[in-house]
Parts: sequence; C-alpha cells; structure tokens
Amino acid sequence: MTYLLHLVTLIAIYSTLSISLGLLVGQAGLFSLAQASFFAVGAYAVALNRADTATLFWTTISLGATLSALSSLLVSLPSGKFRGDYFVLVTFSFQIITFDLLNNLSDYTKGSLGVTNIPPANIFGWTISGVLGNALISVVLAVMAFFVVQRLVTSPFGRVLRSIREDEMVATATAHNVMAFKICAIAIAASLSAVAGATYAHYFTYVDPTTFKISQSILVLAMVIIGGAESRIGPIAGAALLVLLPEAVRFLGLSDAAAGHIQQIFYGALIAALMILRPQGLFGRYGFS
Amino acid sequence: MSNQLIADGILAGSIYVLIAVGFALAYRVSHFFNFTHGFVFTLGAYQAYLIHALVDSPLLECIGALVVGTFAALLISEILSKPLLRRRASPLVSMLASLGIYVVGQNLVAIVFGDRSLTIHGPAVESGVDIFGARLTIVQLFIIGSSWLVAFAVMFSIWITRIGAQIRALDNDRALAEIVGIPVTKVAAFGVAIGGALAGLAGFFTALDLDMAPNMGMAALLIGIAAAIAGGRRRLALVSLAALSIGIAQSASIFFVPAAWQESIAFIVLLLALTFQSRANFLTAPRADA
Repeated sequence: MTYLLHLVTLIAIYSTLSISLGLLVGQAGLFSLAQASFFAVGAYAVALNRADTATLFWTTISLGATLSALSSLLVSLPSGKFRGDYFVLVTFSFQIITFDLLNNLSDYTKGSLGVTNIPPANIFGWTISGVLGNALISVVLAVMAFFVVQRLVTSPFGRVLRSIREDEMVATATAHNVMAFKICAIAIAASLSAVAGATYAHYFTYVDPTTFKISQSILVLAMVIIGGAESRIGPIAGAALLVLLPEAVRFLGLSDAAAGHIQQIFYGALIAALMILRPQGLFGRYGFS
Repeated sequence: MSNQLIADGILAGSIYVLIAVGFALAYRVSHFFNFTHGFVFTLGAYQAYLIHALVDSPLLECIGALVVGTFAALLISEILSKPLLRRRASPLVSMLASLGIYVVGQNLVAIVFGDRSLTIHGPAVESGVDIFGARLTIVQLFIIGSSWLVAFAVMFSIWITRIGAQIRALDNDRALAEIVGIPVTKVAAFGVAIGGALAGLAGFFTALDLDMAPNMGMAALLIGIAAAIAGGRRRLALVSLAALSIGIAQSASIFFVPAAWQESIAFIVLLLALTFQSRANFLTAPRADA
C-alpha cells in the first residue's frame, strides 16, 4: 500500500510537470528543455527555506512559484524571438547552466551534497509526514494544475497562444503582442513546475542537483510528446507510463541503474518513433509537422 | 603558465574543430540540428576502447574511428532522416527525433560499457615537448596537427571538388539541385558520411587525450552546435575558427572562474551566438527547407 501511494505521489508530481509543459508545447508550440530548472527552483526554494525555519506550506510554495516565474524571464526575454528548433537550443543551454549553478554555487545550494532534512509540509498547522498525506497533497496540486491549464486553454489567452503556434505573423497582424504572450505562457508553466518541485522537496526531504539534470527535462518533454501535447489527458498518461515503466523493469530483477537506462532507452525510442510516425502523440489531435 | 593554458585550449579547440566542421557539413545536407552527431562521437571513442582491449595499435584505432563514424552516421541517417524527409518533417521534429535516438544510443553504451569513465592510455606519463614554455606530449601534438590537416582537407574539397560543389548546391536549394540532375540522395549521404567520420575521429582523439564516458557526446555536440551557429553554419572556415576560440576561451577561463564552470562557458557562447546571429538577420531569413 505504501508503495502504491509512493507511485501515486510520483505520478502526480510528474503530471504537474508535464501538464505545465503541455501548456507550452501543445498551445504555444514552444518545446522547452528547461522545465527541470523550474522544477529545481521550486524544490530549492522549499529546501533552503525549510532547512532552517518552519514556515507555512503555502508561503514557501508561492515563494517558489514566484521565484520560478521571475527566473523564467531569464529564458523568455532572450529566447522570445526564437521559435522551433532554436527555442529548444536556448532552453537546452539554460538547463545546462542551471545545473552548473546548482552544482557549483555550493555556498548557497550546498552543491553536489544536496540539502538534507527538509521538514515535511505544514498546512494550517497539520504536518504532512506520511505517504498518504503526501500522496493527497500532490494529487490535489496536480488536479489544481490541470484545471488551471484547462481554464487557460479554453480562455482567449489559450486561443492567442494557439494562433501564435500556427502563425506568429498573423497573431502580430491582429494586434497581439506575441512576445508578451510567450513570456506569460513560459512564466505560468515555470511556476506550475515550481509547485511540483516544492511537493517533491517536501516528500523526499532531500534534494540534490542530479535530480535536475538535462535528462530530467528530456524525460518531462518525453511525457508530453508521448501522451500527446494538445490533449487533456495526454501529459498525465505520458507521466504515468514513464513513471510506472522503470518500476515494472525493477520487478524483473534489474538494478536501479539498469532500470534507469532502460527507461531512457524506452522513452528515447518512443520520442524518435512518434516524431517519425505520429508527431501528435498517442492521444493528441494537433500534429505539428 | 598562461602559455600552458592557451596550449591546452588549442588542443581542446582542435578536437572541437573536427566536431564542428563535421556537424556543419552534415547540417548543410540535412538542414536540422542532428543530435546523433554526439552519439557518433561517443562511438568513435568506445570503438577505440574495444580495439585497445585486443591489440595496442593507435593506427588501427584511428582507422576504426573513421570507419565506425562513417557507417554509424549512414545507418542513423537511413533510419532517421529518410522517413523524416519523406514526410517533409520540420527541422524541429527532425531534431527531436534525433534527440530520441541520441538518448537511446547513450544509454545502450552505458549498459554495455558501464557508467564510469574508461581510458585507453596507461598510467605512465609521456615525455613532453616544450613550445613557448607550454608542455605538450607527442600524442597531443599529433592530435592538433591531424585535426587541422583533416579539417582543412575537408574544407578544401568542399571548395574545389565536384561533389563539394554538389553539396553546396544541395545546401542552397534541394529542389533546384534535384532538377538540375544532382543525385541529391547520394550527395546527402556523402555529406553525412564525412560528418560522421569527423565525429568518430574527434571521439577517438578525445579518448586518446583524456578518457571516455557514455555522456561525453552531449557536451561535444553542443560545442559543435555552438561553433556551427557562431560561425554562420555554412562557412566551414569560420565554423572552425569559432570552435578553436571556444576551446581557448574554455581553457583561459580558468584564470577567472573555477574549472567546474567550463561547460557553462560553451553554452554561454551558444546563447551569445544565437542572439547575435539573429541580429545579423539570418535566422529570420527564409530557410531552404521551410
């Protein structure tokens, strides 16, 4: 039971990440490889704050989300004018630099040792320490992320994002500030990822830079692509599939390291196959060619 | 001491030149950022480890790097580029597909050879040669010399040979090249093959000078992309200059920041190159493949 709840928590955290990236990929057509950096901002906001003082859950989580939205400006301002493959390269560079920052600024982030003893979340005086509590809170936050993104997708904001995806020139011609919309979308996705990061830090009570490597960003992008970017359940299905797969592999008696490699081979092959055969993903409708 | 840093930078930069020229050449015929270039680079290093386990012959390892690089690049292009081209996939989709193949390749290497780094040179310290107060081993001088020799040979043949002209034509306009009777598939395969051979050779040189790890390809690839974009992608001479500068900049940066930041330096160069190249109005110009 504990193990099942652990899986539920993991799926919920990754769903939050893939839902937030789904907004960028599916609606705005921006393929970001920097989502793990914003995940990291949320996690470290909790870790570094919580390591010393016990503040309320909502304070740290909103702090993380705000910081993350602000730091997303570092990506969106220089990369706003890039589209397609160039946007991927810019976010890729940003992700590598973030990892180096986490790893090397050891005075602030404790470097490769990581931050230990992060206290459990404290909501309205109720301390969430068990697996059940963490599963509940992460599922609630994932559901909230889902509805926030759904609300955005069906709103005029989402329509403008889709028009930017289809043709930036037309969006500009109809008097939409393309750059501002992109910056907003990237900031919203960043703060939702930070929420996932905050839950992650509270649940594992330990963070270190290796969790926020480029491979994590590729994993989240794989979840979105495999599930289907412009699909409501796509990112969640992708997250569930890629979280459960290495667990299934572990039952075959392979070591953790081998399970990790097999997971990466699996989603690498899926990305390639889907890009060649079905770019809209398993559940998607919108096919970017 | 500073001369030593510059010499180290030139050494690293010379290997980057091979990576970047190979990458730019493959880009000219396929028109997307091919991440599998990094995987071919890794294969070039690991085949040397395999050969080294059988016989200790650097010459054989060098030939192996060229052969493995060529065939790996051709095989990947057969699996990846052909169906994408048939579907007229955008550069973005092609790039993501190649990222997928890269991830598969890197993890296969990790499963077969393990995650830790491997080396093909012994513990003995080789005697060095003094050049302007910098000390380089014979092997390192050989790497620098042959990298530039190979890079110049490739650039020169693109410039003067018939197939070089055909590659340039294909780069300019694929459809038009096809109309005037250039065998585009063959020419593209040729470009990919040469690009792969250069990547394999660069991987072997890296293994010869330093060591190898399954994830070595990613850093190499991104340096290749950074140099290719900074050099304007099409002008191979500028691309190789950019690659050399990245090598020297990384090495000289030790003066100012700790060595742990070296990787970030390459990416900052990439970001700057992207920003300024777009100012130079070539990103916004219509692409032949668009």
